[in-house]
Amino acid sequence: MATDGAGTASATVQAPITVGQTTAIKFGNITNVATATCVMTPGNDTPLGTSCAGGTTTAGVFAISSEAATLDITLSITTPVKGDVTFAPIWSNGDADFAAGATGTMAAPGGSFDINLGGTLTNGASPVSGAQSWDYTVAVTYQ
Amino acid sequence: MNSIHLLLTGVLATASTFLAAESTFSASTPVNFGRVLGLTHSDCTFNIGGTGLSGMACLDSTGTLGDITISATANQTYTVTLFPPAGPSNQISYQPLLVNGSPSATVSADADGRFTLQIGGFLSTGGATPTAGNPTDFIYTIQVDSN
Repeated sequence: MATDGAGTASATVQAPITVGQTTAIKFGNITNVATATCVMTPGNDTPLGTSCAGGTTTAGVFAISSEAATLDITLSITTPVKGDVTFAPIWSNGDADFAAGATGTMAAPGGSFDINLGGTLTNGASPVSGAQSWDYTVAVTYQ
Repeated sequence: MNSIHLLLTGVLATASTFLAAESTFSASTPVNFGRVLGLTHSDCTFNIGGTGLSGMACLDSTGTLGDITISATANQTYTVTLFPPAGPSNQISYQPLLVNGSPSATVSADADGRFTLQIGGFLSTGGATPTAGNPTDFIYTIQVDSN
């Protein structure tokens, strides 16, 4: 004798998060003075510091699209030292700055919004002259 | 005078049949996968024997196993089989599984005629994107056969 019954399972679907760079961080020119630094504050296109030397400068902006939720955002950089200059990226949630490797939270309003990024360049003993760039990753997940 | 003694010998034969009580179901806890990402070609699975979730679509690390109590005949053995919904809901297919990782198992009712099933399973999507929003429900079937 067989008897059938019914059960229920449920799940709540959330829209995937999208992340894209809107504006790259540009420190412009820096001097090759040993141990000098140039600091780009998130949201401020003008870096300040002992190595900052003008040129075209922009703070970074990433566009994020998600549902309204609390997000975890983490920066990472695989090769922070290039040409004897170290790049340490940071992002801001508006209240605090978070360095690479530290997970910060952000209350996403739902839809698309921006986060601001910056960072610090620190010269080593013998910075190499010429153009240099650093790659970093912005990881965003629902909390 | 002859007398005839008739010895009547009889064997009392007994025919019997076992009438199993019809099973009744009491679902106290529905299966809950929590939040899943609305992705194509992705999945979210309850790990065998536990509440942990794994898979690209899982947003939460743990879910809630379904808990269904079935009342039947005391000490009787049953084969329980789970059947998935007839089709996807919100582009998501659900395969219910018992915590042994199989859709079927043999279970025994206790002296009170009850046994409890814990149910997990997995969700999967194909090439169409699920719509984000309200919870998506999946109605599955539990079949209980007396052995």
